[in-house]
This record gives sequence, C-alpha cells and structure tokens, in this order.
Amino acid sequence: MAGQYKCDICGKPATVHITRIIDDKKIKVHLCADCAAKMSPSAGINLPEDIIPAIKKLEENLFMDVAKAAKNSVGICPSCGARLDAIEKGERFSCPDCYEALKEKLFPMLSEMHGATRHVGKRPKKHEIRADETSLPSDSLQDFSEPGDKVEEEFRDLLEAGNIGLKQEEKKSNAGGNSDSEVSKADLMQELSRAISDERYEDAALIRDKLKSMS
Amino acid sequence: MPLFQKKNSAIYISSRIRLARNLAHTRFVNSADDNLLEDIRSKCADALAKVQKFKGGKFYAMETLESSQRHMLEEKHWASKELADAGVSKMGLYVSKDETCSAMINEEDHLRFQSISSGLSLGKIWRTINSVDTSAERFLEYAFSPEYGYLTACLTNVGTGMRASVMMHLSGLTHIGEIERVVRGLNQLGMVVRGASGEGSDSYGAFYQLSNQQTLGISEDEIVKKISKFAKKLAEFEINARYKLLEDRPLFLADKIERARAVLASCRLISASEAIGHLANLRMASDMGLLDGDCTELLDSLITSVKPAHLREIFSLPSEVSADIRDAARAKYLKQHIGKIPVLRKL
Repeated sequence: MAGQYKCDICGKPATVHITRIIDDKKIKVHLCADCAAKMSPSAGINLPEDIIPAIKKLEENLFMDVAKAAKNSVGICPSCGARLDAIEKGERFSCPDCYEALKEKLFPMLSEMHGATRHVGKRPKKHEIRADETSLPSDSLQDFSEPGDKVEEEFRDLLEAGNIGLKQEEKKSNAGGNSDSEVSKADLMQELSRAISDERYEDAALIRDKLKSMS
Repeated sequence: MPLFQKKNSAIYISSRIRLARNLAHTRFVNSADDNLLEDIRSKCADALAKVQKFKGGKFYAMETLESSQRHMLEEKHWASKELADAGVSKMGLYVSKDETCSAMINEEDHLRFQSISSGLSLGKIWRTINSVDTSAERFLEYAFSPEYGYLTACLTNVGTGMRASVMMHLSGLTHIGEIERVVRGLNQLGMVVRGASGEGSDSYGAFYQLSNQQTLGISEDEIVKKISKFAKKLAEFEINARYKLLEDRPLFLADKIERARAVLASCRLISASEAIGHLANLRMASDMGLLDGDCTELLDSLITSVKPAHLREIFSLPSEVSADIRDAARAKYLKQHIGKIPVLRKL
C-alpha cells in the first residue's frame, strides 16, 4: 500500500512515512528514499552545510501546511478553536463563528430540531432585508411548520374537546374518514426526517413537495 | 350564584416571553473567561442603563447577593434557577422600575430579555419586549446571521431566540387523569409543556408552562399567535375536564377541596409542594365558583408566600434553617390565613 503515496517534497514514490502529533492531531509526512536520506542526520551523506537549514525550513513549512489542512478537515472553529464534532453531539456553541464553521453539518441538525433551516423573524436594523432580497430559493427546505389553523385542526383531532374522557382506542374508532390521509402524512413526515438525517436531500425535497401538495 | 360565573379566567396564570441575544464577535458565556464575562456584563449593563424601559431600574451583580436574595428573585420569576444557583460567576440581572421587564446577563446567553404579565397576554408582552430589544440594539451589536437569525449558545434557541410561554392551572385535567395524554399530544405538535418553574421543574399544584419549541423558520408574531391559540384550546380542555369532574365525580371533587382546607387548617409541618398542591385545589374550586365567594387572588398570594425564599423573608428565618423549622413556619402561616377562604358550597 506504501506505493500509493508520493514524496511530499519531490513527488517521487514515497517509501518513508513519518508521523508527528501537532495540536493533538496525528500528521503524516511521506518521503522518497532520497529525500529521507537527505533529511536524516545519521544517513552519513555529506550535504553542504547551507542546505540543511533550507531542508529544515521546508520540513517546517510542510508540517505547517499539513497541520492547517488537518485542522479544517477534523472541524475546529477557526475563531475559538472549539471542536465541531462536540457541537454536533449536542454541546453548546462556543462563539458566533462556530455556526459558519459548522455550516455544512447544520442543515440536518436544524431540520431535525426546528423543521426549518432559515430565519424568517426579526432582524437587527443593520441586517434589515431589502425588497429585492425577500424571495428564498425555491429548493430550500424552508419551513415545515404548519400554519396555525392546520395545527389547531390536528390538535382538535388528537384531543377533541368533550371527548377528553375517551380512551385512545375509542378515539381512533371515532376518527372518521380522514384518518388514512393523516396516517400517510405522518409516514411522510417520518420519511422526511429519516431522509434529512441520512443527508439524502434530493429525497427530502421530493417528500417535502409531496407534503406540500397534501396540505 | 351559578357555577363557572367567571368563565374560569384564572386558568391562565401568567404569560412570559424571553429573547436570547449575544454580542457579535464575542465568545459565548460557556467558553468565556472571567475577564471577558466581566467585560460582557459591564457592556450590557451600560447599554441597558440607556434603554428607556430600564431607566430607574435595579441592577444586581449576582455574586454580591446572598443565596436567599437570589432565590427570592427566582421565585419572582426574574432570575432563572441557573442564575439564582450560581452566585460566584459574573452574572447580572437588570429589572425595570415597573418590574414588567428584566434582562439576565451571562446566563446561557450574554443577554436574555424577559417580560411577564398576568393572564393570557402574549401580544402585549411581545410589543413591550420587542421595543426594549430594538432600543438595546442601538447600543449593542448582536451576533446575527441573515441565514440563521440571532445566534445563540444552544441550537434550540437560534433564529428568533424567542420562547413564549403561558403558565396555566390544569387541576381538572390532572384529576381526571388526562394530563399526560394532553401533554403528549402537545409535544407531538411541537409544543413544550413543563412544570411551572421551567426546565426540569415539578408540576406540583398542576401548574404547567406551555411554550414553543421551534425558534427558527417561524416569526415572532407567528409564535405569539400559535402559543395563544394552543393556550386557549388547552383552557377549553381544562374547562371540559372540570365540568366532567363536577358531573361524574362530585364527591371526589368535594373531598379534594375539603381535604385541602382540613390539612391546611390543622397541619403542624408542611412542605412547599404539599401546601401548593392543596392551595391549587382550593384555587380551582374558587375559579369554578364552588366556594362561597371568590378568593383566587388570596390563594395566588398564599401560593407565592409558601415558597422557601418568600417564607424565609416573612418569618425572618436565617438562611441555614432546618426543614422542620421551615415547614412549621409554613404550617403556622397557612393556619393564620385559611379562615379567610370561603367554605365549599353544597355540590
């Protein structure tokens, strides 16, 4: 498997693999035999004195670049250093910039929690929306919350006033003709939730459209 | 006198709105050190001092208060349990002069505005708190994203940062054994129903807080409308439950009321939760018009007075006092007042 790596310095096939821990992250560097020999003080190769600091500098820069790339890939907020995987697991955000750093993962988290992914309420004056900015992208999973009347209807179905003393089973038998559509709507909502958590956004958009056509 | 003559108006106890805000380019409270927290507190306090609503109001640096003073603020619903419990960190509380609005500083978020009013009055509260927030924004730059709205430490509050709640007295639903099903149904529809003191609190006395779960993708006006609608619907269910109780189990109802009076009149030791449970039954009876006169206001005042911090103040009890002494003081206080509560009419 070593053959698939190229030397990080000259690009030839790498045969020497170095691992370092930087900022608690494992960083690997791959070198070809020549470059490794040049960098090894015990290799017995006589390098001109002025080349050694140059190689050291090269190595340093290399590690810096790799470390930076690694930081981004494991998800650390560039402003406060918070681990984004911890936030994903439910810990609090550490600073406002964590939101931007976690942007790619936010969609399913927000959808699951709020049934929506975009703010529609009050804005501070400096962020007030201009008239030409009001339309939202049509494919945005904007808002799955039901309009108030619809929700109230469902609530009434669920806990009909006057039937409060009835057992759940009795209520089911009294539910009448619209129970099928309610069930399939509930199924769709569940399927939507699954699609979002599996990050199948195309499926989610299709289900969203189906739900919209039912309401 | 007909029953339900007051149309059970006391089912709605109070309404409250909270807005969570954070300062732009500033670490959230959970990751800020003491110097930064101090800086945030002084920035927020300075800004609030310039807001008309807070002019002449009181500012409390929480660590300078005794535990009993902090818990008194909690019982008055000005401070959260977290703010009252944590006395050493750099938390602050601003209360407006007319006591209709407060702002917690460095609780979970840098700023949490709150306004409370009696009855079902979310629309009025929203107008008050919205105007306070807009004024404060002139002196503070908020952390805001056009996409996600007001940025908060916890994802559950992002967007509007708004939690609108109505505290309701649901003894009827509790006694007919339907409260759990109602709560479950509301949860399924995205509503949160908790014990009266908020997250993690008990629901003794059948006092429940109904609030919104969704804060993103919904406007503040919509939240107000939605919670008000559900509160009205819930009040209808509660009235039906009370009628049902009266029709189907009048003896059970009479027993709850008479037992409450008997216990409160003759107990020697009583905990806050037991006392509030009995007072709540009397409150329901008063609201239903079952007592020989309305005493809801007196019962509300007793329910507040028997809470630990209030009781400590009434009897000038030291902060470290045994449970027996506190429970004996509570029993004595209730015995003094129970005579003012009208008797049960014949059911």
